[in-house]
Amino acid sequence: MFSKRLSHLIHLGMLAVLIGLPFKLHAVAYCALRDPMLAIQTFYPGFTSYRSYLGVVGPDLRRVLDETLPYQLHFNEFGKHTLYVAYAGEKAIGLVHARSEKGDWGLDEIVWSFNMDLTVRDFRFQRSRSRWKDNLQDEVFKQALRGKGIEGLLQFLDADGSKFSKQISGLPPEAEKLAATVVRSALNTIVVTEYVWGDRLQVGRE
Amino acid sequence: MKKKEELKPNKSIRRYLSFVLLGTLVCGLSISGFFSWNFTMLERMQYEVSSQSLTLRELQDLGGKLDLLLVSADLSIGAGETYSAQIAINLSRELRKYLKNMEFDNMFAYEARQFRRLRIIELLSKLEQQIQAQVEFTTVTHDEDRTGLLEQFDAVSAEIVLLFEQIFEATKKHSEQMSSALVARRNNSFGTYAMVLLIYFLANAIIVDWSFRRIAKPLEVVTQRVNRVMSHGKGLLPSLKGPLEISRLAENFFLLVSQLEKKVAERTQALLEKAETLEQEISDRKAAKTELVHAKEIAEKSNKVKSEFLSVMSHELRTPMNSILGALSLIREGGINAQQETYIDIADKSGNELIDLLGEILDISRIGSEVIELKNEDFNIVELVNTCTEMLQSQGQEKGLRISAAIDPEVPHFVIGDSSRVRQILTNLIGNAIKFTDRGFVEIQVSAEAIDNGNHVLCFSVTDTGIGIAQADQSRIFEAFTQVDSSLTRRHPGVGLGLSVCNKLAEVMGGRCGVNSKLGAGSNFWFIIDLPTGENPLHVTAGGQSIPANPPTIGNRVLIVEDSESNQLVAHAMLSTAGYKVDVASCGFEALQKFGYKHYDLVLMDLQMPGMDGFETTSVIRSLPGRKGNLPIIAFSANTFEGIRTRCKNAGMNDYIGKPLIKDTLLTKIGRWISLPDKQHKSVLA
Repeated sequence: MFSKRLSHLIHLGMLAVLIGLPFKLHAVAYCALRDPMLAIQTFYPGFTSYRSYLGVVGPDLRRVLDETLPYQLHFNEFGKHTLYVAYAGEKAIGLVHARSEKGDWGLDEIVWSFNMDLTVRDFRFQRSRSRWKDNLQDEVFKQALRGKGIEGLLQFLDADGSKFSKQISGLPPEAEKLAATVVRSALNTIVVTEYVWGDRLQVGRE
Repeated sequence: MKKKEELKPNKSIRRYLSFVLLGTLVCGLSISGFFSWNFTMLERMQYEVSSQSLTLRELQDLGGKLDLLLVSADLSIGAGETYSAQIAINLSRELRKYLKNMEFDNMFAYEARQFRRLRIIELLSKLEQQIQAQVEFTTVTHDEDRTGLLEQFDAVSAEIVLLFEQIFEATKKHSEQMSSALVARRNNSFGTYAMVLLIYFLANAIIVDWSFRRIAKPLEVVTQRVNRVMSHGKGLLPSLKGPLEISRLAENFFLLVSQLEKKVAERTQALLEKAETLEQEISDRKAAKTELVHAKEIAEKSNKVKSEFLSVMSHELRTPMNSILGALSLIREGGINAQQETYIDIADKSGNELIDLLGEILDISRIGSEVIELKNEDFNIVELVNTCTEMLQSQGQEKGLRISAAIDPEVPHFVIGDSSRVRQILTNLIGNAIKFTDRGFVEIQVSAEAIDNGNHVLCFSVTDTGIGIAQADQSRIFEAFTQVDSSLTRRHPGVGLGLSVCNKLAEVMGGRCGVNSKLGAGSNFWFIIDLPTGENPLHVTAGGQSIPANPPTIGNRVLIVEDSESNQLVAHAMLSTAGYKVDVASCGFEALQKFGYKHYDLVLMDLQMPGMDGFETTSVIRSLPGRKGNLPIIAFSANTFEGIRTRCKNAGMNDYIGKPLIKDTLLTKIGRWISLPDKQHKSVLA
């Protein structure tokens, strides 16, 4: 019926439409953490309790992202999102949040663990169909990200934020695309968290 | 092994050329086949590479659809988007349909890729069920059930991606391998082509070398052997390993050579035998030639002896005849009666006939000996003819004949030649005409025709009304000792030498004699000679001198040197009666003695004398100083042989008078020489 190139373009257009759908109309967050207890237990084995904070991410977040980051990150994940805060007793010891990013095959869902100062503590793939995901879940790569905030994470990307630019031992070149996705996901998560739940986090830090 | 090969029968050139053609054909077909095969392989590989590239692009397109499907599925699964679920289901169905129709080539990992393709189709069906289930789960509230569903979805989708990537990677790898192989083949093709061409050229070189050794080499060997045969005359038949035709050619050639050698040997033998025969013949001929030379020498010697004998005989006969005739002349002058005069006339006539006969014999002898020498002097042909006519006029008148002479105006008066020989021929012909004519006339005619270089052909003709000559006899009358009729011989005396002498003399002078006659109607004898035009010498010339016609003679002193007393007497009588003072010396010594105390105006010198002959005496006189050594000397001899005049001139003599002496001739010559001044005493001898 259509030529292959035209067919390809149509599919890309459909993808763009799908991603750009106003999910708030459906009222269900699709990047939800599947088993929050297990996830928090994994990242914070000594936690005693956790709290979840529901927030709404709207189109105004795009302006915030543009102002915060030196480059434009693709972001269309609007709607309700849940931030989990782990406690050890009364003290908040960390944050857990799940985010979706466009991967090679469908959407990659990454579960992030941040320190209370919004520096990276750990992460894991809730879903990724990339063959290189195991390379990124290696401790060397995680260790490289740990403790990094926005400034630190930007060092891993090139000037326009599209490519991974850091040399990490053991990381094959084919996995760098997924690594860049991971870094951008971290940056998005930090900015979104700060923007949506910044007030609550400030209370928790205190 | 080599001997075995030589025993093989040779093949024809056609067979060899067939081998060469076959070899070349096989080489050509091989290389053509190789190139075709290589091109086909390249084309096929190119097709496969293109096919793989196409498959790869199709897979990339499928990958894009799969990605879109997964995104839709993720959205529908994660957020329960029914719209996304519907899109995902539709994409999955489309993908399945596409995969069902998809065909992989069977070159590389066909089974694995087929399996994976089918597995993906299966999983996609499963995925559709899960998406459908998720849509139905929108009312489900149990998180555990939802989580299990998500995990199943993740597992299925992960397997789909994994299988798809495996298919893609395998196809990509295959495509890259094919591309590499194609590039490698293309790169290697040049080397391969070069190698194949090299092999082709080597094969052709081997074929050419083989054909050279099989065809050209035998020819070369045969040529060398033939050259050797040509150079050395022999050679051996080569043992050829080559074309049949060349072998036969060589065999035939050497067979031909052997046959030729055999023929040559035979002919050489025949030639040797012939040469021996020829040598024998040459030897015989040499011997015969030697004998002939010897015989010739003897003949020449005999001829010379004969000539000398004739000369001597002539001299010995003329000398007494001179005396007889001189005596008769003196008797006639001394006063005799009529009866005595008649007897003297008879004696004189007989003597003159005898003298003529001796002359003819002498001439025929000279002609036979080829010792005639011709004079080359200016003479008046008109005067000669008139003189001859006048001389024989009285003879003709005695028989009652009319003698006349007619000279054509074209005839030059003076010609160069031997006047005495011309006179001899003419006198002979006139005499013959008178002799054989009893009545009528004898007419002498002379005509001339100018030819090149101032020469004239003179034609002398003597016509008579005599007895004539039969046609049958005309051809032989010029032969010696021939008379037409022997019976006539008795009536007309003669030995038949006259016409023969005439003919010979005319031939010697470059002319010829002939006769036109009819029996009983008279004859016409003629002779033609070719003589150059001469000049008028006035009378007698010698170096441009002239001799007066009527010289004074009286009182001059003449010395006669003569050993014969009769001749002394005759000459003395002739001169003294003419008024000369005459002294006589019997030999050369006596003559020289007389020179010592007397002066002479002229010497009449005999040639053959005892002691000092005339030649030697003349030489001594010429050596004397002053006028004595310069006086005229006239030779006086019965020797009429050719060459005598030259000898006389060489000895220093001025003129020559033959014996018998004729008084008028003697006096005329003496008178002329005496009248010349001393310084003009040059010889007139040839």
